[in-house]
Amino acid sequence: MEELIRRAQAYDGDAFVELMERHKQSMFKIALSYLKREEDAADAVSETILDCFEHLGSLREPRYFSTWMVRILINNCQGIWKRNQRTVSLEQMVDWKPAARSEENREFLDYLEPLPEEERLLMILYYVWGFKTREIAEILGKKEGTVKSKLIRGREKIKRMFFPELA
Amino acid sequence: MGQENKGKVEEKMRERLKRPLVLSAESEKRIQAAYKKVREECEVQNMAEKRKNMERQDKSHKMAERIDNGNQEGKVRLHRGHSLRRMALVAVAAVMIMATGLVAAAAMGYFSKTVKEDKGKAVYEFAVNYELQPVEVKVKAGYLPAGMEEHDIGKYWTEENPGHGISVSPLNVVNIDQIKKNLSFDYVENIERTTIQGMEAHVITFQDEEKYDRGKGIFLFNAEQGFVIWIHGDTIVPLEEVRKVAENLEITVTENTDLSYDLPEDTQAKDAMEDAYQKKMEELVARGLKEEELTPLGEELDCEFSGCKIKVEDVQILDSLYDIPGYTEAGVCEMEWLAPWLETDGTHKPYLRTHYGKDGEILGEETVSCRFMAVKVVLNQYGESGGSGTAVNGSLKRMSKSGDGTYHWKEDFYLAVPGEGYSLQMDNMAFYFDQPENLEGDKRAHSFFFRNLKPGDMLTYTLVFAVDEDILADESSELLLEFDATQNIMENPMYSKLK
Repeated sequence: MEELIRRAQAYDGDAFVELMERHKQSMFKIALSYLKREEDAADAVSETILDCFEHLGSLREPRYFSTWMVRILINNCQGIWKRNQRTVSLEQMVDWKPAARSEENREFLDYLEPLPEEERLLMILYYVWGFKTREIAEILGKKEGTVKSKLIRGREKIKRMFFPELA
Repeated sequence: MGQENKGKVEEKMRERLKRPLVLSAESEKRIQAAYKKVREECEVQNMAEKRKNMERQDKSHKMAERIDNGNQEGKVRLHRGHSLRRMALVAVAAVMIMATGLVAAAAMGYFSKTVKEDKGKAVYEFAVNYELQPVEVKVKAGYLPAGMEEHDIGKYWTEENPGHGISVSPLNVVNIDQIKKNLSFDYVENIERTTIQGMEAHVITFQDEEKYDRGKGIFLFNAEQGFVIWIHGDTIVPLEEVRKVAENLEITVTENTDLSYDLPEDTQAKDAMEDAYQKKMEELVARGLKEEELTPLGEELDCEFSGCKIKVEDVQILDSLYDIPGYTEAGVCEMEWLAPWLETDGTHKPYLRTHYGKDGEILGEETVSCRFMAVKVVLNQYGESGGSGTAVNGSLKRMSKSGDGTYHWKEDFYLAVPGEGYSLQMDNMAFYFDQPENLEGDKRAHSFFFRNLKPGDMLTYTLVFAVDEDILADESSELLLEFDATQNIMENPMYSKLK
């Protein structure tokens, strides 16, 4: 991946797009878990793509690309969430409910449903992105112990709801 | 919960969360729109880079050359141009003042231009009419020389000459605004003013085109509709063929409300960043390197960035490549570069090079012999090496030692005459690495000089550089090695001594 990053830093558009495509699904999962509405998630991801491109030159260490990109994505999600607080109508809010979810993605969203926002994000960062708890702590500005305990709590909730036989 | 059950839950959760989402067409559309903006920006940057390379090749920008040769920072430094996101946002405001449909151009049109020609230098400057909403311009080649096909957007070549052919770059007025004061050509032989497809056209030819591989180019200017098209033909393509491509271009102009000009504060910030960088570089060049900043032969240099320590253990100057201890053909990165310059006994054939002064002026041209410099390196990996592995290559820096003990980059420089097609000393880097592991396809192309190493690994290897005989013999200069693994930054330059 570092090679792709270096090529993208040298304005290789194909490399940059490939880099983003590799992360697109994972980015969407974070955005969707945060914002719930797919169109908002799409906005967050596309804004993140542009931001990443714009600032990629400042990324000196390609090994930190993933954490760097996730921070940008989370900032964008927060920005969109705040904007929506001010502008989204009640009618639009209703669309956020699970009934409006596409059938294909229902399972993913249902799975995260029992969790509060922060735990949802933690689960995605841990299980989808594969970050270590220390890295998640750095990304979110939390203590590693807090991250660990919230992960355990989230896991417990999902286990009770979806895998009672294993509880 | 038992460990077994915990493991099962983990496994199931990971599996469910990792299942791919199905994205709607609308989401895909938004993502693709972002990619499109990125690609457009890349095209502009690449064109600017190509122009810069042309200038560099023309040796007219000595300082730029010295910066690139003098510091790795120069190679990795990137300015991402303008804020694409801001552009998208201000586009909304721009649309509000725009008339419906494609705007009829005012008297000035979208831009005006001036061309100043002086002693082979042509400087193009543009003034942009910001009141008009930029439009999108797309081009398709309606004619191509025999055998030429499109291999990348706007890039055409034949199978026999990959990478060498014709390129067509459409510039909308936002692109023009970005290069408005920064478009110049050196060693211009002639600018023929003519009309092509009803548009003002400049056909630019260059002095000693073949020898210096300068190619030729045609500008099409359309101030009324808001675009410029640059058609560049490599040296191997006859001018008349380039002209026919220009005459037959299919040009489409469409409305694009996402296009908007850079905000003045973005431009100012970018200029300030470039000025600050330039100043820093000049300061570094002026102060030179102190002895204590150089790692002596036989001592380890800590390349923290790459999690390794590198030691130059031994340096040998050899007449024949085959004298390299343990020589293996697999160690040659690009046999196509080496083979034409290798005698049957393994010695280096002479090549033709040009000697340039500090301002890029040509001081002379001579045929020179080369020898091989074999550098034995010991690398100790103590940390993570990153995705592509640890970079093992490096580049040679030609320095002179001042009376006060500081080292300064030599101000004159040498480059092979482009027509020679000599690439063995490209970027002053090694062409041989005796222990490569990336030998196939893309990996070979991009990562030949990388090794995947784990903490605790040690690698002893040999790099070989081709070095001009007279440079080796020059007592006033000293060659230093800048390892790629250092990822040198200006504030803390790290170089290794070779004697």
